[in-house]
Amino acid sequence: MGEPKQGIPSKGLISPKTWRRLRIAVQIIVFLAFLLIFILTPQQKFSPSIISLPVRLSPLVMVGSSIAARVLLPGIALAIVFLLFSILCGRTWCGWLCPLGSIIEVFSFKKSREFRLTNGWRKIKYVLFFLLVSAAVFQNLALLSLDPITILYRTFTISIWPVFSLIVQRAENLLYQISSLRPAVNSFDNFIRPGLFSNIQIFFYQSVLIFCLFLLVIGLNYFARRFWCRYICPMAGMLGLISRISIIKRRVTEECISCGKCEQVCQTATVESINNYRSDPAECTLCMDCIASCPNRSNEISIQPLPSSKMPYDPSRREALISVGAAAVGAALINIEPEPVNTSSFLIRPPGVDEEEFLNQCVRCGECMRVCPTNAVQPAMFESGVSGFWTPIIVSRIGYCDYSCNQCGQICPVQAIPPLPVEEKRTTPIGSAYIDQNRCIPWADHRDCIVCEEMCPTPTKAITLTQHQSGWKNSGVLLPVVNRDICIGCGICENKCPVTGQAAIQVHVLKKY
Amino acid sequence: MRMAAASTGAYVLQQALSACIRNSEDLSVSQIPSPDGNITKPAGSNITETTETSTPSSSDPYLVVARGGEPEEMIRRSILALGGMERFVPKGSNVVIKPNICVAYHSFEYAATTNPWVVGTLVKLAFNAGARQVQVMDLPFGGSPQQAYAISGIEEHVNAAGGEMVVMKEMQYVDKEIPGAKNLFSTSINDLIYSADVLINVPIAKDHSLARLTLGMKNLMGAINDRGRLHENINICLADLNTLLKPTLTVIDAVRILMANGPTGGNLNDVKQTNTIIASQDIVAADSYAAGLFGMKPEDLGYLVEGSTRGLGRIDLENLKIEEIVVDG
Repeated sequence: MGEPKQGIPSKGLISPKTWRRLRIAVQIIVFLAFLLIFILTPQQKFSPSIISLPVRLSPLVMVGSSIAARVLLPGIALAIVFLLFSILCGRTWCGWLCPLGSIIEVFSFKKSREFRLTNGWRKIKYVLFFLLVSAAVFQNLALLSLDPITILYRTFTISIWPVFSLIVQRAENLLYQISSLRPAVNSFDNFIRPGLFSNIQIFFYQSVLIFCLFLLVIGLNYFARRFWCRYICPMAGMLGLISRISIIKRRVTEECISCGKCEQVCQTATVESINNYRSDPAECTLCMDCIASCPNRSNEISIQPLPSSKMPYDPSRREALISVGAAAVGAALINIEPEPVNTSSFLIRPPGVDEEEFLNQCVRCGECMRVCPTNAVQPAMFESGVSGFWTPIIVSRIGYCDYSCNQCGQICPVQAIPPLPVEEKRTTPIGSAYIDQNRCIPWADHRDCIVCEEMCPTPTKAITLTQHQSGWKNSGVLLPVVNRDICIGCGICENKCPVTGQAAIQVHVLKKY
Repeated sequence: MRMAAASTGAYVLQQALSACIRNSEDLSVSQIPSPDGNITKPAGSNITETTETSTPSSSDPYLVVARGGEPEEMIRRSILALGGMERFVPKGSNVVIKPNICVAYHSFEYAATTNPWVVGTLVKLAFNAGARQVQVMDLPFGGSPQQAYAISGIEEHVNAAGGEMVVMKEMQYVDKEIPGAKNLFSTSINDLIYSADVLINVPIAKDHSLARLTLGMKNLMGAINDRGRLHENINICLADLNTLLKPTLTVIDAVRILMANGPTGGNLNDVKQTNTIIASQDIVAADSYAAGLFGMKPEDLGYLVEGSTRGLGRIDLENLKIEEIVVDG
């Protein structure tokens, strides 16, 4: 390798076509592993370090989160391995491993028109990456919502899996009507719940919006193959920058007959005839398609220690600086929002979270939403200001924080949610319940209802009942009152409140006295 | 033992008295098992009698209370005293046991969920009597059923006895009208419980703010999934529900009882170890007796009064043949 062979094309142990097949096999295996881990996540049979592996494998997530949190996250070693791997062999991560990249490849339109976008578009990913890193320096991680792994995990959790769950549940309900099938349906249901699907039908806010982003990522293929990976993905930007000094890269030998096949098959269109069919290692995903299509093996992947030549679309120092400046201005703009506008009184975070630190750490992957057994953890919209979108909040009306559960803290791949033991979690307030006396059944209508008190899980009930003395049409009615020293804000009261629509008891953020 | 003998003596007298009273009154209610275990059926009543699995002998007590021993022994002795499980469980029948597994928070020591040995022993006895299958289920309101079954310890004991823990599912609920209801005119009830051949109701005696105590009658709320509606008029609604769902046998677990912060519990200081099992075919009578453990009279619990006026059972404990067993611990 390394020096041009004469006459006969070089013959490695593995033929070029096999390399390509191998790459596809690796992609399938990685994607299936991703899917398997995703499906098995709520099982609690595997250690959280295995379950959170997909997200921890994303170098961008780990680097961004570590910069913003100013700590080296425990899981970062793996991500660094991948970065070193990129120095060795370029954007292999994109071409061989990235499960979103694999989906994008599968959904590439055969006759996609290849709108001839100028190479200048390739800058976008670098700019996004610079913006992301600079914003991370200013402790804003909103752009990590564009990380390929978080996109995929979030879309699966929030949009795709609930739909599967609904379809399965509807089918079960239908088949259960046939009495002879009942035992079979029952045992099937026992088999799939709670291992594969939640006991309850799950629902997430913004499932449509989040699916739209996913559709956009795939739909962009219409304009060019792997459009996302080529032009936009900030992970590609990061790995692309490193890949410029990668050691193993593609090169074209002198036997090239300029047939143009490699240019046709190149997924990222980095092989161009005007450039003598050479490619930019920052753009090449080492997918092996060109090698497999070459009629005389005149291009090869080999060890070439020299850095690649500069490309016109490479990010300039000026652009990098502008990105840093833009991120600074953006982060500053977000931070000058006045506090009362910035935060909602319903900004209930998973247990043990300190809001400020949390925003520096949360990568918006959605793992906590995936494991929450009651569907309480939901993606935020603007509850935590514009930069907090898709971070997890607890919406008690949808699900309560189970008194015996600490899964979200166990699973969080960047420990933005601290891994509290159950006992500690039980005494960690996340908010406090407030009764709306204008709508509460006993307070407003003088009729019996003690559901919130009954549900309250604290050993000494945080909701107690007092009797109203006089002047009422039904003076014996018991009235719920919240003891704020005991209430942990779990929200089971709000969740089970029988008042239609918005509950008459709601969990609000803890008062800061 | 002396207490038991005394109460039996008093009972004979009361039985004679109450028989006179009952004969002189025109009972509008049918099918109240009389203290001697036979079913009194007013002449001319057109209500069909439910089939008994075996003819109770006149010596069988109306209600059995076992005290002092291990839960398993107390259960065995009290069921035996009621005439044996064979009396309630026909051969080949499908038995459902409904304990109280309301939350997935604490182990049985906290008295929020039914004692696992109590449930396990009932499963064993049901199988020994020839049950085809024994299913145990409840619908926890806090935490997942799987977790609640495990934490309560009930799953372990039921599985060891060969029974099956069933997770109640939404598709299993059927809408039922309640004829003659005063408030709960229809409800959505779990079909596995509703259509079981034999339903054994195994509540744990606990504090409850609105109902004051949650015992047998209230434990049946676990069979329906539109529970929120019941709270507004709980005493009437519980009686309504109990006309729809009539357990074959009610066994109240008062091994540990929860005196405050019920029904969820969580504080061992609220738990009182009373080492008592109360068993009867009459859910109202069993509840009435259990009320005494909390220093209450049956009349203090509105649903028991409502249940007795509707003919669901009896609150006049003094008129019932009660057998008290002291099991040496």
